[in-house]
Amino acid sequence: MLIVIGIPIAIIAVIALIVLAPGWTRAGRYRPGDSWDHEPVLIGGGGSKAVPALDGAQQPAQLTAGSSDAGTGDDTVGGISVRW
Amino acid sequence: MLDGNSDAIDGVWNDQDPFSSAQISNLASTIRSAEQVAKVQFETFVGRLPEDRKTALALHGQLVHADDSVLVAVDPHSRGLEIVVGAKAKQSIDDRTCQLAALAMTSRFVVGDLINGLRDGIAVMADHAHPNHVLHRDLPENA
Repeated sequence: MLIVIGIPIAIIAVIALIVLAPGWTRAGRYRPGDSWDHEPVLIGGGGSKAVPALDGAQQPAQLTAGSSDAGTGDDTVGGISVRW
Repeated sequence: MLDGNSDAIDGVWNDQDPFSSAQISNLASTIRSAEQVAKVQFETFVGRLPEDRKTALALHGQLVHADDSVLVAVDPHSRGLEIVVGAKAKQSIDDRTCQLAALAMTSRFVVGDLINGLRDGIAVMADHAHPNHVLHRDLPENA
């Protein structure tokens, strides 16, 4: 009885544990489509650091928003905007 | 380009933090290596960008060495990626390099792998950077 039922159940339990365990350890992982409710993070060569406050007075007024995969067209800065 | 197994660096996870300390440390290490190669400063931001590029530009403007800095800003909520390259850093990191990096990053982002996407993207930018080499550092003695 133990061999016929116990061993298969034990094998199934071990396999289930192997499959599900990585998911448990990554419970906080971002999944596309989820909302993002974490605090903003700024990471540089020295690790994470405080995110600078951005009020209206600090925002450079002369900079305009890019909106596509193309360049920004701004003379002072480069870079791109992408959505995935 | 990059070494290491992404699963091996996941480390201990706190549900309140988007990334583990091991992940942040690993990304910081990649950033330091990239900065040495590309001769520019890299910063990564992960959070909401309410006004998309405008917010990213404002964040970039707040960096200590903005002209020499590249900001990679990711908004996981709206699935937006903004790369802002400072005026001097543009000489090393052009828009084409940014596009290559964005491709590397978004291919990871679509499966939810933000931290390794950032690592890949920064590594791509470092690989394709054109740092300005100083060819004549010595001044003539009687100049």
